[in-house]
Amino acid sequence: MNRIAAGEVIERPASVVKELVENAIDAGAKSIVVEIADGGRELIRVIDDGCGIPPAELPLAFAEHATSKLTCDDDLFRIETMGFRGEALASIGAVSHAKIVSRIAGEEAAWEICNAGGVIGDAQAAAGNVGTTAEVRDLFFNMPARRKFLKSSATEVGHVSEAVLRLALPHPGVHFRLLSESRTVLDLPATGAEERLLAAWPENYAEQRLPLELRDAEIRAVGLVGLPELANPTAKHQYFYLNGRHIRDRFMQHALKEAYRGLMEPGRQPVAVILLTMPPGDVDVNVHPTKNEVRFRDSGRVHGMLLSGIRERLLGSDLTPRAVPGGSAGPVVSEAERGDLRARLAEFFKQMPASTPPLPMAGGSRETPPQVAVKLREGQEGKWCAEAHPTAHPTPIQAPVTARPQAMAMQLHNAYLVTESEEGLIIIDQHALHERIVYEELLGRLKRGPLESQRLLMPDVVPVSAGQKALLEQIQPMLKRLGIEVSEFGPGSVAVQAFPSFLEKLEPGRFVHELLERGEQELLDLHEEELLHEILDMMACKAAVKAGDPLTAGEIEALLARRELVDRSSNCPHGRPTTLRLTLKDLEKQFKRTGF
Amino acid sequence: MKVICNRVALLEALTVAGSVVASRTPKPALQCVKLTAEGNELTLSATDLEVAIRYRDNQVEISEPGELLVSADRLRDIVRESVDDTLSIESAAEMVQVKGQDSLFKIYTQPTEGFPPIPGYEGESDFEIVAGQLKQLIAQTIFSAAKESTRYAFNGVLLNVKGKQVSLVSTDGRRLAEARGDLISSGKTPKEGSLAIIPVKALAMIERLLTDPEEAVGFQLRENQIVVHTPNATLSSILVEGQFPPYEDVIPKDADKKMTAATLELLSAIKRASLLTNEESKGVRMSFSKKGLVLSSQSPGAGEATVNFPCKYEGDDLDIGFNPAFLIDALKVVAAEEVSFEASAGNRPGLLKGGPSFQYVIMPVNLQ
Ligand SMILES: Nc1ncnc2c1ncn2[C@@H]1O[C@H](COP(=O)(O)OP(=O)(O)OP(=O)(O)O)[C@@H](O)[C@H]1O
Ligand SMILES: [Mg+2]
Repeated sequence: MNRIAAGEVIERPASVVKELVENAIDAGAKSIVVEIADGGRELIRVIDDGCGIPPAELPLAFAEHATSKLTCDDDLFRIETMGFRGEALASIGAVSHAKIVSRIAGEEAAWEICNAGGVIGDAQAAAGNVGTTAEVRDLFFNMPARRKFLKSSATEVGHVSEAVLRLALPHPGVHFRLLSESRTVLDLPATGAEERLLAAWPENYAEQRLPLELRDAEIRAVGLVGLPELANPTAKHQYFYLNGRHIRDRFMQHALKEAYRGLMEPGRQPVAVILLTMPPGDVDVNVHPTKNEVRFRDSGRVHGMLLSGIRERLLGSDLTPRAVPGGSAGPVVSEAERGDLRARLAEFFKQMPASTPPLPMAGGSRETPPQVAVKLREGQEGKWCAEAHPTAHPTPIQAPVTARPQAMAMQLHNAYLVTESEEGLIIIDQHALHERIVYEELLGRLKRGPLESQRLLMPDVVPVSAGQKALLEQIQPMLKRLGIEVSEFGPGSVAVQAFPSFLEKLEPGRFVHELLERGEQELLDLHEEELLHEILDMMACKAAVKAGDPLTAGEIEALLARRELVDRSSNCPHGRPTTLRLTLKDLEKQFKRTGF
Repeated sequence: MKVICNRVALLEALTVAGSVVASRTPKPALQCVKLTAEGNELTLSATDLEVAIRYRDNQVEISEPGELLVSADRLRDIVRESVDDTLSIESAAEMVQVKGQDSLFKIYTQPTEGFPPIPGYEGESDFEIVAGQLKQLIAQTIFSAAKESTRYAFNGVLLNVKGKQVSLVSTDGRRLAEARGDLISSGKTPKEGSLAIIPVKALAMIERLLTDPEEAVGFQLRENQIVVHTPNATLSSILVEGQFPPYEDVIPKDADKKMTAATLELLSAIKRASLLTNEESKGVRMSFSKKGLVLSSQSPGAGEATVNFPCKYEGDDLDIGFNPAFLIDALKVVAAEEVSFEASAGNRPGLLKGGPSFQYVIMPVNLQ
């Protein structure tokens, strides 16, 4: 085996672990133990209880292109085992001191075979249980440059652990364990599919997940997607699988990210584990030496299915972030418990005079007392518990948080609205919510025709650069749809002639100027559709009430009422949340009232 | 300083002066009102460095002249809540005492040197306007000025004096209001072509000072500044810098269609037609024909409205849309019983006239 070729597959200890564990999975193991020492530099040992290798085939294990996993040529297009090339063990053996000990059921003893940097020994009888143990020592002993390139032991342990986790996610029935210097790093006992996926979920946020299940005639996608609030700057919490194999795929990643458009801040990455299964013939997995890239026969279909499926899942769910990050992965309060809690709370609120704000102003400044405490409708507190809980939404996370019809709402610090929900209380960022509402209404209005446009008495003249002028020409028709009419006005400037009437508080010239300034920097290579959304975002943001604007009782009521009418009201168009909720359970936890 | 004041008159003076005081300022002196007792008048001065006021209160008895500087809010609150008919105000070391029958307040004062000089009214007026008429001119124009435009001239109202005539003009770039009036004829002819852009805040203050419709209000224009004088107050304001657009050019002269109607009836029809509009669909459609005017509006989600308004109309049929708020704003301040509305096309400006002294140009909205 050519060492250079081997190096393509075997980059670091984690690659060895990946190949060995894949072999164990292919062998039908129910338990796989990975042991490493010095980050895998000194030792990597993978012990499985799989079918083992018959003694007669053992000499072939280290041979190049020897695989038991393909039966005919045609098979290359229908790959269902993890291994298929018959290359991994040969590659590993070429750059280490490797040994395989294996015993099949019915055989009295195990047999072992060694490979010292490509020099393959003879098979010999040895002691061992049914299954296979592959041992790799002194990785890259004969490639000093490569060995030097390895990172600290801790870093390599991290990579190994990530590799084992990736392999474990789609195999919930297999018990995986990783030990480094005899200490347990990972222990994933056999379990159910969803629980296993949670092994890859950000800690303490198990409740912020939505199970996903999509299918068409041939493709099926299952997994978990995280609520938008979990989005983070890197894609490290994204796991994509195709037919049980962890892959990196920009189509899938793009579809996922697009599905969250407008729900999270741009530049963030959602949390998701998505397992795709499709007929092996529809995809080529033999594109990359490490097998983690694939080529779909019809990538558009995969993209489209994921994008629309995930988006629908998100829009159909309550995306309201929780004010207190879920401390436990346990189930949410049961129906019975909730009924009981609600009854108690109803009683508690009943005793409170309606004019008292239901919340103490923790740390609030005295100069800005709660401005308004409105009763949205005549109170019927007594009926709370009599009300049937909507059983159509057994998991509360799927039901959009709606303010209780008779809930009180009040404005705090001229910036936030606080009101009750079925499950506790919700806190609303007035600007973000209004912005989202305006955005959705504009979008709806645009579907029926151009926005209403107010002609200007005196055109507002804006200086423009050559680049801006070019951009302007390009987006002219879209601006017209948005109610902005701009015309040529001398060499270095343009004149705004008409401007959307709902933006009457804005200055047309300043808005167009800002748009062009931004446009030059970031909007140039956007698609038409994306550009439209960007401009709508800008408009909505500017038209919305600001933090600091006092609202009257009527305005608060109107705002909350409109909240229920629009899609995606849980996030502003920039993707920031509009609403936080504190569930009764969170409150209990915070007040240490778990016996409540 | 020692003064005995009529409480109600003092409260009025403090309220007027207090509305000029800077609300948020790092300089404590600017949150103060300066009291000056001299002769038989107590003068209250306040400024936010743009507008300055001197308000004269003569319902006082001065036993010791003098001056002091004290927090305008504090003093006003005390005077407002007091129950006495008269209050005595007396300065003590770094303090001022406000004494009622059963109460004594001592408020810390600020050194008067910290207070900027406030221009007085010296010499003769450049011109004079009767208060009642000035009040109407202001009401007919102040509403259509811009609030925070970067085209600064839009944030004020243009005062234009020509011959014996004065006009106020304002625009926010979407509509424009012009109101005309006469100067009080004194022997002297005012300086030809006096132009000044008065900030909206100052104009609103001036309007407030006009209590007696018969009294004469004097004006002095200085570089960068206007000074307005009434019998009990002198107000000065920095002028808005910048060029007021050549507004006469935008007043349509080619209108070939004309409607006339009773002001209040038209106002009511427009109000009703606008009841179902919303944020994104503000426009009301006005369809003119020989039969008169039909006003209609529709907004997705809310519904539709139609109002038939028989009126006199000359010209070809016309469909034109307007933001009804703009029309309502103007119709509310028209003094004449009848208005006329002229237009030429659906995408050209309309012209509303209320009597010979008020005209209002309004740009249409594009209806779908
Ligand atoms: N843990 C194991 N249990 C049973 N058989 C094994 C095990 N590991 C390796 N083998 C046998 O050794 C052969 C070679 O393994 P190797 O990993 O080199 O190739 P592969 O898995 O077939 O293909 P790939 O190179 O794609 O991994 C396998 O085909 C299989 O028959
Ligand atoms: Mg293999």
